[in-house]
Amino acid sequence: MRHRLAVSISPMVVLAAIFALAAESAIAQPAKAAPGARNWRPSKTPWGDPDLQGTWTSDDCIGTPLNRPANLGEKRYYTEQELAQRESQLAKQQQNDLQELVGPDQRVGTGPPSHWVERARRPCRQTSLVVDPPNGRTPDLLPEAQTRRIPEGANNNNPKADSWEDFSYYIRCISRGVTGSIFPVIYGNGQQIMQAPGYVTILQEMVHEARVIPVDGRPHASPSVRSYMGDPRGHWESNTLVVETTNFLSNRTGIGLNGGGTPTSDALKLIERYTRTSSSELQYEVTIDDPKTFTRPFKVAFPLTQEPGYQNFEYACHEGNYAMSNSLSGARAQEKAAAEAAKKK
Amino acid sequence: MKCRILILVFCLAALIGSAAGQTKTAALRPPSTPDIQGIWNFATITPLERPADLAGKEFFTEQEAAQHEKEVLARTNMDRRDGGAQADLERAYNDFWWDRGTKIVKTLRTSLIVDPRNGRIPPLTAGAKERQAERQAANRGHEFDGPENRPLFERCLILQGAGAPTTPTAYNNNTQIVQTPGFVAIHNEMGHEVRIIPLDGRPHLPQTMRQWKGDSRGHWESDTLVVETTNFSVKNSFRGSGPDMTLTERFRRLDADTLEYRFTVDDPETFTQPWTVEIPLTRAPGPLFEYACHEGNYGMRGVLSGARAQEKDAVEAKRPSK
Amino acid sequence: MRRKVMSYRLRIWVLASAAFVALFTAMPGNGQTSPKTTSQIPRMPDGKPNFTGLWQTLGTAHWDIQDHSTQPGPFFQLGATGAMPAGQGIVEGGEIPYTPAAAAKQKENLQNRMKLDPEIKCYMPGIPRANYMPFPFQIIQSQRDIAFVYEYATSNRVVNMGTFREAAVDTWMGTSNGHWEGDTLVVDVSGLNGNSWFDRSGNFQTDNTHVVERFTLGDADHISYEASIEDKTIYTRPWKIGTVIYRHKEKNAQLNEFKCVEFAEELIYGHLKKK
Repeated sequence: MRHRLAVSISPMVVLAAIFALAAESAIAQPAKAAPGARNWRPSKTPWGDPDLQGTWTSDDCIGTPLNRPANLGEKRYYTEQELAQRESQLAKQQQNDLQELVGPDQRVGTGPPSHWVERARRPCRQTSLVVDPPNGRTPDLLPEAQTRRIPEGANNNNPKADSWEDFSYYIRCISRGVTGSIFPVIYGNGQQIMQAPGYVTILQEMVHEARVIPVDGRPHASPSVRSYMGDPRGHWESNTLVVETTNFLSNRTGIGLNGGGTPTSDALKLIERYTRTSSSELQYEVTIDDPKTFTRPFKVAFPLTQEPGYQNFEYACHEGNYAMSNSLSGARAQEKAAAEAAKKK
Repeated sequence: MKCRILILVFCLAALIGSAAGQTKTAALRPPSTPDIQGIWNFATITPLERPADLAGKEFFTEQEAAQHEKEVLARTNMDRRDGGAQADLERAYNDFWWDRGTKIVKTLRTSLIVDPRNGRIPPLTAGAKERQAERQAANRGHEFDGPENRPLFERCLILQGAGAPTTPTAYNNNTQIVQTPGFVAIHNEMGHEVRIIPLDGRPHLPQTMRQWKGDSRGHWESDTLVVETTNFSVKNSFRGSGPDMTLTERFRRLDADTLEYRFTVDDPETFTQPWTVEIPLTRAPGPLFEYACHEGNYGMRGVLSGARAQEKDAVEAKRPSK
Repeated sequence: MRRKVMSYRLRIWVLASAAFVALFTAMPGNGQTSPKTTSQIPRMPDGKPNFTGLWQTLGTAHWDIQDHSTQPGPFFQLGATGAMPAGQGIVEGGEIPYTPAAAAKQKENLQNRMKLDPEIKCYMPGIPRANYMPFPFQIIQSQRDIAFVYEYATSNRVVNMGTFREAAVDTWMGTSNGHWEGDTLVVDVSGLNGNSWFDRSGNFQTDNTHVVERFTLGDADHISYEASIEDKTIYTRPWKIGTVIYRHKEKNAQLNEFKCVEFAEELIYGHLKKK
């Protein structure tokens, strides 16, 4: 009798040990392993999802172009030397930003003062935001996409400003699209991630977007419900948040910085992957697949960081859109002046 | 002795149990409230006001009643062809379209107004007379300018017989009453008006909120449902009444197929005394039909385009002939 | 012999009492057997009430937060769809306690509302108006901060539940700092820039307006919402609004997008378009 009991206990002990280990990992606890290390794992929310929360910024890759310069070929990363050079450039820039007055030898434009823009705190390791295809450049456009109008608004190359429709959706303060709201630009790069049971929400500083991403497995909305920011659905793959977004309106924003570039179609599908690699770093990757615009899908990736004191500010774009009224009234004034000059002749 | 105690205990328990059970499964209408539900018809050939030629005669005799009914029906038969084409046209609809009723009230009273005793609407106050004269003067010569110059029932806004109060009219003299704990709903066929009357003692709407059919609150006084309606809009008027009228209606079941409906108009700004009307409601088989007045308002289009055509003709007529 | 009699009597009374007790407890309304008498609200793992969900008010506060009858709309072409419905107000006591000058300004706002109402231009609605717009909003409650994502004009705000943070700058949606008082979420909203209205009827704010909101789950599907408003420059005393916010329970309910700038461009820039 006793003998049998001993035998039956040992498998139970093993099982108990297994359960204990499993239970331990389910309880919220601090991250394991050194930050940045490959096996670093984020802590969990009380309901068991990986914790990606915090206000993140893509500031460090400000200035990194979407497309890699052709002469760099397949060089995805800068060398250590090049990075050191960039670091000292950044330091110099920071010094310049602290200046209150413009020096006598400096050219002054009509742009905003330099402290209006954000700066990278560390040099970006990447030579481009596009990481696949290997040449770091967006794929070719399909023929039907090549003729799509890109509203750029009044600039020196194209001074047309007949109506607000000549300006980009960003300048109109409507939307920068999903990728345009996270790709790093001169300011407004804040991404505040908040989680609740069943949801991940990303509050994007510019233009005060809030992507509410259900992670409960529900299907997408009907194809008749389409929007600028699409319809996102998320799920967890180990510690990575995978977000699939569809239901885009066609022919509005492009996928470039600030939503620029060729407008994408209603067939656009984005697959984003958010992986927290340390308490202060999160790797962002998006696969852009638009079979009516590009000849193949391609990937953009770059890191996001948390910085002390960094927060989203309200970007009341439309409410303060003097640029639009000034551009239009300026164009009308120019036309009037030209017309009057013509009369005099 | 012990057995009796036991029986007493169990009987008490059973009584309490059944009482609890009864509140659990009680009918929707609390048992003490009379049942006035159903479809009721209020068509009658008795007029609201006593006609001048019957002044002083409060009631008919049975014989007089029968004679009177015959005369009225003959007089109001819309299928007559006497009087020439114009008279015929002005009779508008064929007789089957009308549903004024064929009988006078069972009480044999010669008017629906029971107070004052002379069966007539009391005189207007001086202020009311002035307001009425002003309104009429303002509209004179403009009666067909636009929809706002036409009477409310022609615009399908508020119709006679549509509730608050209910009075008989050309047709649709039907109403349906539904009761539920805390509320009575009165659905008038004319104008598909439903009044929802809370019985829970809640206050009226604030004075700043006015409604075409006012705001009704009800309560039971023994076997009578008393409904008080206030907060009328200045745009509506019952026989000249103003927005501060208080209308009190009383519904009482007389027998299985009859409700007594009385209402009192109390509007000291308009009438020199309150006046009360009594109309019998008789159970009817129903159903109520949808009266899609506005949706089918060809009348308004006809009236206005006719007026525009007449104006045009008048202008043409004045032009010097070639 | 006596003993036997006593125990028999005792047994009878025991039986009788048992019968009584059995019948009483079987009756409804006793509380013991009805689980619905205590309202069940969803809670976070730490026990705090969980407001996560899709919410919206009913009623007509977005037209006018005071009692109002129906009004015709500004464009007859919209017919019935442009008219204003009647509704009971959400102001406690009925009246907003304006100073005489502020009351005059409100009347002016009302008369010129088609030009002045920021909602028409698709400007962010501010607080408290955002909470009773005729659009749903999503609450995302993390284990610390709480996000309010409003469908109208893609407005949103995050209620900071940590240490109180002063408003760094005046904004349209204000700066929200929250804390718990029992099961009530109390949110202090400061730093409003004064450009928002309370409704479509000209009831306005200034950049001195300070709002304190209270959210309480009456049950799983209803939030009892209260907001105290103070502004010494336009009111003679603080005042309150109160209403109910309902949870969307439709099967596929979700927040949609209402980016309304496009609908306001002709209005705002039309006079600057090339002829």
